[in-house]
Amino acid sequence: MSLKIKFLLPVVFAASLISAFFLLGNKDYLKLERSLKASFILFDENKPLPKLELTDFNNQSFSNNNLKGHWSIVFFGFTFCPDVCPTGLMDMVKLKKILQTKKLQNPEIIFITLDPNRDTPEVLKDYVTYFDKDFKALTGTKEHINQIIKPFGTFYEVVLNDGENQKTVSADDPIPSDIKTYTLNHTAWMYLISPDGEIFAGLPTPHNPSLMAEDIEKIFAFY
Amino acid sequence: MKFSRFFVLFIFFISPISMIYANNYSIDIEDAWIRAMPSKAMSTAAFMKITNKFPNEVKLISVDIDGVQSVELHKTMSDGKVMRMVKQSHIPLPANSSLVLKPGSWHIMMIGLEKQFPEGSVHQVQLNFDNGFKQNIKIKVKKQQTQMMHHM
Repeated sequence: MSLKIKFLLPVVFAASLISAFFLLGNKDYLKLERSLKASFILFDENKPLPKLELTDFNNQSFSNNNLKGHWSIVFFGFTFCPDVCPTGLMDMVKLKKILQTKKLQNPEIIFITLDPNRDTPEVLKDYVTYFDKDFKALTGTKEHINQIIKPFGTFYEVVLNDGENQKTVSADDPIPSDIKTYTLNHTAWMYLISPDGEIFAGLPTPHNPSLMAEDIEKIFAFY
Repeated sequence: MKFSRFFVLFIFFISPISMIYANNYSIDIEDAWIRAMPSKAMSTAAFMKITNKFPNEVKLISVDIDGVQSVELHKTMSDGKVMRMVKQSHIPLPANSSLVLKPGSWHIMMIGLEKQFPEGSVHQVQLNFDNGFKQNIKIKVKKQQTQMMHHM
């Protein structure tokens, strides 16, 4: 072997590795996104999911590792909510049925409360398993939840109701102990989490389970 | 005696309530349902199609449901992202038209459930309108709307 070839071999090898990375590793997210009807690609390798320190409805700790190895759909809400959240959960019931008929794997449905003050693990278990026995729910400290919702783009504010008047305060404000009832105004996007445990796509409201299932099928094929 | 009997009849016919019945004006309720919620849930909501057959706008001003601490009229609104459930003083019903109370829109919010509203149970509900008209209906508790699917 001449010195020239000896020198070139590693160069060619390295070049082919780099091109393989760009061809295979750097998938065409734009093309995928253009084909989606009910969702947006949110995956950004520079924005990893923050460290989760949550508790599931069986009082077991839940971290980022619990999201790895399978697809999940995460959605934020509160059990006092009589309209938006149950509608979202019913949409998830419909989505699960459609994915089953398409013979696709079902993402794990995870409801994370924005109202840990009222949503104890017991209340959460009663609530989400009512819709489907496989649905999961998580809670945590208010401060932690207020932090982790940021990379999702989830927002909420608190509407205090003393029976006569309503007053809206920010998510970080304390809830007065003498308040009669309160509800939350919140974004109700759902987030598809990849088996790497990263936010992959966002599904905005209003949710259409049929279109969501079509998008999920494309995303699974792409991934 | 005869005169007073005629007088009573006269009063009856000119009273607004008799006007309602004499003209067949009414407010009809169809496809009503209360959302079935888990046993520990503190709130739920009622949905229905309301048809105002009066020749003028009527407002739904309150709703009475036994076993509920407070019943409020709400509208869920979205600015494209945030869903806001806004308390309303009334639900406007334009003359000779229908309004559908449905998830993600107008609804009757039931706050503080003092009794269970299990799936399949039926509850007496009274709707009170600003013209004095009242409508009493029985509403069944369901997991989701079924009858109106074909309209969608």
